[in-house]
Amino acid sequence: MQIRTKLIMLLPALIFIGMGAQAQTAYNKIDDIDIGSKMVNYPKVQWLKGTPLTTFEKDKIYIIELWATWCVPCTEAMPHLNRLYQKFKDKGIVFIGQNVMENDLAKVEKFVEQKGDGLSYPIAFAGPKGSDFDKKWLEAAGVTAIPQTFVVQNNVLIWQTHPSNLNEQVLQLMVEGKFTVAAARALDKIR
Amino acid sequence: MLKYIKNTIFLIIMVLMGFFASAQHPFLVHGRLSIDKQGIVVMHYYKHGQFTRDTARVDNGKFEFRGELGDPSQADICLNPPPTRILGEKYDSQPFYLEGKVSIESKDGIETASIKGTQSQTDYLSVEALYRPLEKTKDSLEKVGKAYKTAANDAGVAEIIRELDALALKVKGSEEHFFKTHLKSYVAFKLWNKKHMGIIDADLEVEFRQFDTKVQQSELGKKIESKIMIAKKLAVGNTAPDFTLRDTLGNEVSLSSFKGKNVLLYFWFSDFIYFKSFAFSMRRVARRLQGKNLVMLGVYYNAIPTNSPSPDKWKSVVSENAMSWPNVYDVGGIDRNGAVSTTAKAYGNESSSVLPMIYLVGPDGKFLARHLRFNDAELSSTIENLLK
Repeated sequence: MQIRTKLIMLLPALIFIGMGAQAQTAYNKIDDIDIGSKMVNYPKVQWLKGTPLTTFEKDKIYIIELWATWCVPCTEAMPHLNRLYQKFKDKGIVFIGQNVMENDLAKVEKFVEQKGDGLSYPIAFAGPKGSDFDKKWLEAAGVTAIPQTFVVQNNVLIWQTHPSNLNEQVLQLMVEGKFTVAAARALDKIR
Repeated sequence: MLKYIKNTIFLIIMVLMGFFASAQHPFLVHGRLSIDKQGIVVMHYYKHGQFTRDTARVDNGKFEFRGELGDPSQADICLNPPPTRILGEKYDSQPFYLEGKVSIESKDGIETASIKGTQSQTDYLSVEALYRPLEKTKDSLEKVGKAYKTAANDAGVAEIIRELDALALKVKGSEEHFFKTHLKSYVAFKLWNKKHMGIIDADLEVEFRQFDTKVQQSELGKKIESKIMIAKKLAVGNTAPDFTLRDTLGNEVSLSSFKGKNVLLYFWFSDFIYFKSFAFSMRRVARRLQGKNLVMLGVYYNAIPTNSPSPDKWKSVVSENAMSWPNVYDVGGIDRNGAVSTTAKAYGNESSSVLPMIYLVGPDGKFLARHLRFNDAELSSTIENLLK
């Protein structure tokens, strides 16, 4: 082998030795979900109503609402969400009522059935701790309390908020591609 | 000449020891149960904050305890207890307040005995009487709430929640009235302290000073007073005490080296149930405030003294939780008896119960905020609005 080739081959080793000499603390990479995070796949859940979602589509807006039958403010927010669903489902917004933090599927099914048309948007059941949704979304997004609303647009998480902060003006901003957290906050102050 | 010097030194030492020794108050518990009672009585109480267990023989119903206490203490006395008591099981026992002379008189055993003591015992019984009906109401409301939940009666559950909130306000009101009318009472002071466990801020001084001087000078009173003094030193606008500690690479890092930048200074440990949530919250702040004139500085404590992890364990905790900003370790800063290091003492970091503790320090080295909460969903905004 030529000397030049041998020297070139030695180069990576020298680079690695240089890095080692600095003894950097290697920090783990953790993919937390936060505003600005890229959102591609939806975790594996059980769909009780509506079209199952597996991958986020670029041209759609997704409003994912976390709830449980035992969570009073969650169920109190449902009529409001249902009204917004009726108004915006044909404007490119997909609503998902994602049930979390409960074990009893039968109980959730019964609840959904009893609500009838009062809960007409897609509903999914995640399952208890350790479920795919729990690991990939609840833990990754640091969710410890519900209700919580996540909004995904163009495969990016654009908002994480309380369902009471959703209103027609804010949703209209999203549809027009003009949504920012600051704009949403400003609207909240005016109301 | 030597003997004279020796004696003087000895005398000085004795005086100093007397000066620093905790106040000791003698107590005498005199018991007279029914004549057929034999065996032993076991008394549990707190002496200078330490859980203590005393035993006395019962002869034909008669027994006696003598000893010394610091502050008066909640106590429990039990006739012939088994080696291990099981929670929920009934024993021949009664709680009371131990101070000075206490008499326990009964035509049968301890449970039905009339216990007479000092004003503390009277106050203790008053407190029990205050809570009993409120506890009863709470229990019945919770029972109804549970039934509503099972029946999926959302409106009913919401109403119960409203009633429980109203009850909590009523309890608070009753407690405050009790403090205001019992300012000489150690029992009332102890109850007041219970409501402010962990977070002692300078604004508590007004309420603290309303209690009688004797109460303020109790062991507990002195502890609270020193916490208030530290809180005053760490008030917003004051200079954050400087310190120099080693980081994960073994380099010395001083707080003052960050002058010119805002510093999110937080004291933490990892052995608590919400640790993952705390780490997530800190990562989120780092992410959202990237590019701002802000440095995050974590000060780690091995705060559970019974743990003896390897000295480098903390480095794995830092890296596994992707806390990729300056982190230093206050080695041995806290032990079972409280704050040990200069840093821990300066910041009032006396035990893991006050951690995590989060401050925001401005570019001039002065506090901009204290008691920032890691479970504040808008923590990043809160911090951003304070940055100088």
